[in-house]
Amino acid sequence: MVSVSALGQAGKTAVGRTGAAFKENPVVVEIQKEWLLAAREGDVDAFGRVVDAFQKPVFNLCYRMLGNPEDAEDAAQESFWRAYQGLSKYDFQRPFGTWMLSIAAHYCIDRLRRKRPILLSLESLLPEDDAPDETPNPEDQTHRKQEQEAVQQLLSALGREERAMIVMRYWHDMSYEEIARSLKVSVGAVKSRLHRARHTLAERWPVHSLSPVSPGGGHE
Amino acid sequence: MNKHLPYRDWIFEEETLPADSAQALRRHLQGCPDCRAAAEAWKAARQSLANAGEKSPRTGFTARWKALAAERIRVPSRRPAWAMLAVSSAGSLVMALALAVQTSTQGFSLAGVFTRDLSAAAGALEDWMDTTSSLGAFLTIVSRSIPPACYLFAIFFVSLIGILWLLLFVRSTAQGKQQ
Ligand SMILES: [Zn+2]
Repeated sequence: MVSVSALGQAGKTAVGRTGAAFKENPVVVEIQKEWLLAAREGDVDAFGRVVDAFQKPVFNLCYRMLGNPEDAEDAAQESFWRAYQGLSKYDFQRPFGTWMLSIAAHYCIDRLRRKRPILLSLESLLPEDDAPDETPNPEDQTHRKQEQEAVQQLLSALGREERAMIVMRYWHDMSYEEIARSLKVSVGAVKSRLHRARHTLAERWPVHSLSPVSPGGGHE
Repeated sequence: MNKHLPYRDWIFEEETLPADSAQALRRHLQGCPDCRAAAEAWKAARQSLANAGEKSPRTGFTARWKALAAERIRVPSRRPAWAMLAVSSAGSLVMALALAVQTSTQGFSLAGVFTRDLSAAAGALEDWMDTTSSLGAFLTIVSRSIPPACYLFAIFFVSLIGILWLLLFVRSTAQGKQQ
């Protein structure tokens, strides 16, 4: 019989905003564990349901890491494939969402290591045909577009691992411990690097220009 | 000593500061425009991260993943093509070696290879193999019945099959990628 508590625990800390659904509904959680078990036996359709449930956080992480929708699509697809292939290594005590994001983050970090970091792609500056916007007002859309660009530019100022940490922390509400485990670094390293990353983000924030003050001390 | 420290660090601290540190930071921010700007910049940057929301993939993401998975799962079924290629290559190699033995013991000439009669062909292998063992005797009988010209045809035929398999494999892989 499915151990609800194993995934119930996962539900508690499942990927931030989307994880909420799993917190409230133990049935969904139980079904999800069955999907994973079936997928581990090679059932692609079962894993397809997992992909469906986690596509948004995984795509978002890839998009924030890589800066354009094409690379993000590629990376997200590949991350799900790697997760599917590596399901036998998945520890059911661990929230599936954080495990999945960890695979995606590693994949994106490797990809950025192989390629020179990109800033903003042409595609990301052009209007997109996907995801209908809830705000039809063109002024609002322009404003949102500018804000998105500013965010991607901010993120591009960070190193690969720091970018992953910021995305995990501020988009996916992951704890320091979860980030540390996902990126295979110490909790202390996560704290100090997030601290440095926040400093960099503030420094690069377009509205302000700060006098340089060396950050750090007490966190390393 | 930097007059902005430790306040500049505290600005970027996520954990709640002790009351006395918080009080000291508040006082410093009131008197230091640089640190105030830093605090405001971080607040604004953080707000922009919060406003950015989660980016969604194009519709049909799961269907595309399933297609990718189906394609990649299909790949192992092509392994027999590689196995066939390996077998045919190994077969060609064995036959080439057998031919080399024959020709090296009798002196190689292309014309000779084609015109040599059955008994001459078998003679070379007969010397080479131990005829006292039953396997050796069997192989001697087999080799006696195959003229060198047949070896050449067999090498050519098996290599051709190998190349055809390789071409088919490359083509089907390329088609798979296009899908
Ligand atoms: Zn100051």
